[in-house]
Amino acid sequence: MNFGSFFLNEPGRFPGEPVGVPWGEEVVDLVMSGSHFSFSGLSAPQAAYVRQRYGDFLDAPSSGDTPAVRTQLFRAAPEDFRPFTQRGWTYTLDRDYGPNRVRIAGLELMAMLDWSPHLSAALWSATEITPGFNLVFDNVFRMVSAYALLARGGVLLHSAGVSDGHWAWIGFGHSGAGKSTLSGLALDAGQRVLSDDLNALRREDGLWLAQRVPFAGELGPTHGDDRSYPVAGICRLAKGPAHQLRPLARPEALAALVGSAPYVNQDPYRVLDLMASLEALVRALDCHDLTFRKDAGFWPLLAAAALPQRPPPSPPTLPGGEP
Amino acid sequence: MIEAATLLKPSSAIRYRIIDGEAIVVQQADARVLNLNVLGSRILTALDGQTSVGDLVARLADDYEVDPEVFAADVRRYLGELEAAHVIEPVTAPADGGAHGL
Repeated sequence: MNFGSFFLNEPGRFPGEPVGVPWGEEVVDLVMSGSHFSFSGLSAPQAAYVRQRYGDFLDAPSSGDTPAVRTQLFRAAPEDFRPFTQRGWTYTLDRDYGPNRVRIAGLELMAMLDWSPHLSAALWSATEITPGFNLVFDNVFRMVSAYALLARGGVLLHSAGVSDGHWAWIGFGHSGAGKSTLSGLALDAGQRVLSDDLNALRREDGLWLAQRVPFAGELGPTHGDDRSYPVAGICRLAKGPAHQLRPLARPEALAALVGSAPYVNQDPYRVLDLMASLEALVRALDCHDLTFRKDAGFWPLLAAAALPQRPPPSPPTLPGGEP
Repeated sequence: MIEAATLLKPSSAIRYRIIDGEAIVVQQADARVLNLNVLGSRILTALDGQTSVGDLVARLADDYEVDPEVFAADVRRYLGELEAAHVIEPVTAPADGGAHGL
């Protein structure tokens, strides 16, 4: 099937350049895990949605020391898109990877990521307001985030991110491996959850950090904790009858992690960059297979495994007071 | 069974990276990931589209204390499995670079 033909009535009319008629003149700036994002061309209702949905991540324009990834929003005609009911199939964005661009087609959306010369994006949407717009915006923002992190040597991982207030642990695995279950158990034990679905890992001053992101799964987004936590360990998750933590060899860990890095892992032009980032990750951190049952008894295992490798650094001095 | 004169190269539909001597192979169509052991990784990286299977087997056999005929049969069977999994492909035109790997 040719690119776009599943979602678009005329795939050949996919915009060739990031131009079009903006929805409005609103601009919303967001910051996530050290990366800055600027969305322009929004209408007032669209901007209101983004500010409400991503309120914890609002950023002052040009406040960052790194350039923002700019995304322009444009109008698309409803007749550009094929009508769908979302029953009986799994929604996956259609992607067309190129050396300088990635084209994306989906439900009521067309988007383009462009690297000439720096990462930027354009989004054409046929819908102005929710519920359609939230799906359009969130899907594209997730994808832009994955590439923005990669550009800085980081990675967006399908994973559970949990923290004891000093360290973070990242638990990854296939659907059903236990990301939301682990996160829920962490919450029950009074610990923190960064996300039960997607986590942003980035390197800063030689240290791998995890920070809350606005993308969540079954548990929904968490609020209020904006600190970055040094990552103590990476765990491949599996549910089982008893808690068990075993070392995971680096090659096997790297292979499994590649499979958990959405969007980028299917990009033939950038997957080697992804693998380089992930190799740096598995060389810096200990990787484990964590089998856990439905109680919080896995915490002592994680804590004990973290201590011998590297003593906890001083808690990060970021806004938010004591951990 | 793959013939000794066959020229093979990594498939253009994969990307791979070597870590601790093992190749992590990503198949781009569906992001499926394979992990090749050390010998498998040596074989993959040696497939340059110009070295015949026979020459490859002879070169590798020097490093392993095994019966040469058994070793050759094992390697050729393994190459057949890699080809069936679309990790490698025969060279059908003037050799190109094939997959990108590090």
